[in-house]
Order: sequence, then C-alpha cells, then structure tokens
Amino acid sequence: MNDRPLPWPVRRLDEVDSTNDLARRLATGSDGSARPPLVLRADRQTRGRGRGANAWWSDEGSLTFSALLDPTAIGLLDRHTPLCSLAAAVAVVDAISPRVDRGRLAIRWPNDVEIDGRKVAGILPERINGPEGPRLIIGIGLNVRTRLDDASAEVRRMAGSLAEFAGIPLEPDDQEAIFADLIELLRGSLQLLSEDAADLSRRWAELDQLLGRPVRVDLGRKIVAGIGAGIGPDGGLRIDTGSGPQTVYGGRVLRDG
Amino acid sequence: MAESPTGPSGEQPDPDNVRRIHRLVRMMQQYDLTAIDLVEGPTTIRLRRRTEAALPGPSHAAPALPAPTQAAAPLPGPSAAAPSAAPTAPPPAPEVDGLLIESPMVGTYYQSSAPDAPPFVTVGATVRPETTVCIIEAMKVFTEIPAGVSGRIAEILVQDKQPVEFGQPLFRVVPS
Repeated sequence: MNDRPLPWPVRRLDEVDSTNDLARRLATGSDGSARPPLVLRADRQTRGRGRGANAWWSDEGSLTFSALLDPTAIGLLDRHTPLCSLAAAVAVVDAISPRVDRGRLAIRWPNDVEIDGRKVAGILPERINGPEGPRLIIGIGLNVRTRLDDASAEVRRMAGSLAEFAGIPLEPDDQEAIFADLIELLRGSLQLLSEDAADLSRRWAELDQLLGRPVRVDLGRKIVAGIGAGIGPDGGLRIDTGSGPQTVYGGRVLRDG
Repeated sequence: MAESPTGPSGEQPDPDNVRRIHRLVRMMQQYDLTAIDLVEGPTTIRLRRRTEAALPGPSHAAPALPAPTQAAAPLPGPSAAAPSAAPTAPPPAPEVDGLLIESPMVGTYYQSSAPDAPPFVTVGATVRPETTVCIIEAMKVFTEIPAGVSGRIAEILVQDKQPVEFGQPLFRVVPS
C-alpha cells in the first residue's frame, strides 16, 4: 500500500521548522529551489505556524504538510486566493469523513476543521511573490492519531484527534491512506475553485459550524457580534447583528462565541 | 451586506477587470502612453489619455485612478474609459504627487511578515513592481501584495493590522 500515484510529487522530511516556511524558502530560492507542484511533508514540525497564539500541537500521529503550487498553472486567479482556506477545508472534511463514526464534522470559518467542536485540522494558506511569479502555499495540519495527553488542558479542550471519533483503531497505514486521499481531494477542490463551481461553495455553506450560533469576530478595531447566518459563495461570513446583517472577510473568530 | 471581495459575476464589477484597468492606467502613466487597446475574447478595454499639454492643472498630478466602480462601468464591451480628469475644465485637483498602491481585496493590512519582523517597506524605500509592500489577510489567507510599480514610497496611508477595503489606497509612490 501507499504506492498509489499522487497528483503532485511529495518530498518527505524527518523534521523541519515549518513546512510553510520551507516551501517559502524553496520558492524564493533562499534554500535550494523547487518547482511547483510539490508537497513538503514533515514527520515532525518544530515550529508549526499559525499566526498569533494559534500554536499547533503535533506529533508523529499528525499529518503536517504544505503544498507549493503555481496558482496560474492551476487556473486560480487573484480573486480565488482568499477562498483557498475554505476549499482546502472541504477537502479535509471529505478525506476524513469515511473514517469518522461519531461526532459532527464541520468547518469553523474560515480555516479550521472540527469534530464536535474540537479542532482536528488547521489550514494556513499564503500567497507569496517568488522570483518566478506568485506562488501559493497551502499548509495543512491534521491530527490523525495525535496523542494529546501531554498537551495543556486548554489544547485538550479545544483540539481533538481523528482517532477519537473513529469506529476502529487507526493504524499508520490508515494515516498514509488519508494523506493520499487528502492530496487527491485538495487538487480536486482547487480545480472546482478555479471553475467557480457552485458545488464547492454549497459544501462549505453546509459544513458551517457557526450557522445559527452566537459568534463574535474580532476585527482589530471592533468586534462584530451576532448569530452566524451562513458562509457565502464569496467566502464571507454573514452575521446577523442586532443592527442588521453584516459580512466579514477577515478578523479572528473568538472561541468563546 | 458588505461588498464582495471576489465579485461573483453579475453581482458586482469583476475585480479582476477593475484591477487590470488600474494596472493599465498605471502603465500608461509610467510609460507615458496615450492609448491602449486590449482585446481578449469578448472583452475589449480601450483606454485613452490626454497628452500632457492638454491636461489641465499641474503637469505631473497624480493619475487620479478612477474608483473601482467607475473604472468597471465600461466593461464589457468596446467602450472607452478615460483615466484622465473630467472632460470639462475642472478646478485644479488637490495636488497629490505619485501613484497609489491599492488593496486588491477586503482584509486586514499587515506591514510585516511577523509581529517581530521589520516592515516590508518604510517611507523613502525604493520599490520595484515585484517588491512585496505588505500582506493582506482575508479569510486567514495571507497574500503578499506586490508594488506593481517602480518608485519611492512617499507615504503609507494605513496602519498595521487595520481593516482595508477593496481598492483602498495603501501607499503613495513617487514613480521613478
């Protein structure tokens, strides 16, 4: 098993600081070079990223990788770039749903995948200006068989691992199969995005964790609070506030709802 | 409802076209072109610029980039968008030296790649079209924004971590 051909070449590394940072260094030529498409997969990340306090807990039971892509070559325009989080989140859901036997799979807008409100995957896309044009880096961390015993109580409360929600114990081979599925599904999801496919935006709308729930989004200078009213085809999060509907495209969803 | 940064067709002016017109307008200014005709499939973009002699007011006034809605209005179809000032002799426009780098999307402006990293550019910095001037984050996607022009940063018009709108001016650049 695990020999099935993948749509993109994969470079597997024992340990890196962050696969997104490595992809950036390769794309800008500051650390060797690499031509997209290329998937950089690390067995261990020492400095997995997430802006601010979003530390990512990972061990050998986690899948951590970054896809380095040429957006132009896969038909993605500038306006598609902000939608890469949601497109990748749909791919993650589709990759893990066959293994989830209990719990509700959902997307916490805009870049987390949760089961029963606990985060099992995080997505960090970036678009950089390389010497040979723009490059898209989509970093994904997915807890498959991650042991959270050693994590802090706060991490354990907010984060989960796929194995906790699977009907059968997940083996290393399952983890490899999920990785292969995810790469294939990510490629397919980005293709749908490049086609402006309504099927894709319908999926992220259906998977909206915040729909109908109290939500607060910190926009830096103000906080928009209300009830989640859906994720639009343009990726914006609609919020019914006391003073009418509002759509946000940025900011940070506060975990306390 | 807030404006869409992605502009589903039929609802809003296509931001790609708006952005393209902005680039073309800058290019006309940069290379002192008076006309550009761009035909791509069913879409035709025709831009005409008055010659320097015919321009009222300061000869090197800002190119007065049209607001996105104005710029997008003539699309699609073989109509003309005049990037220059109003057709009748206007009062002198407020003098603004240089070109504007605008936000290509709704999001949050970041001046540096990380909280502890130095800003990508500061006032006085020389930029080339491919120079990264900032990051705009939208929906947790961090996009490096290239200058798109050559010149010197004369003014930074937004503050770190400030929410920005589509088309909002971020930098004023004195072209080189």
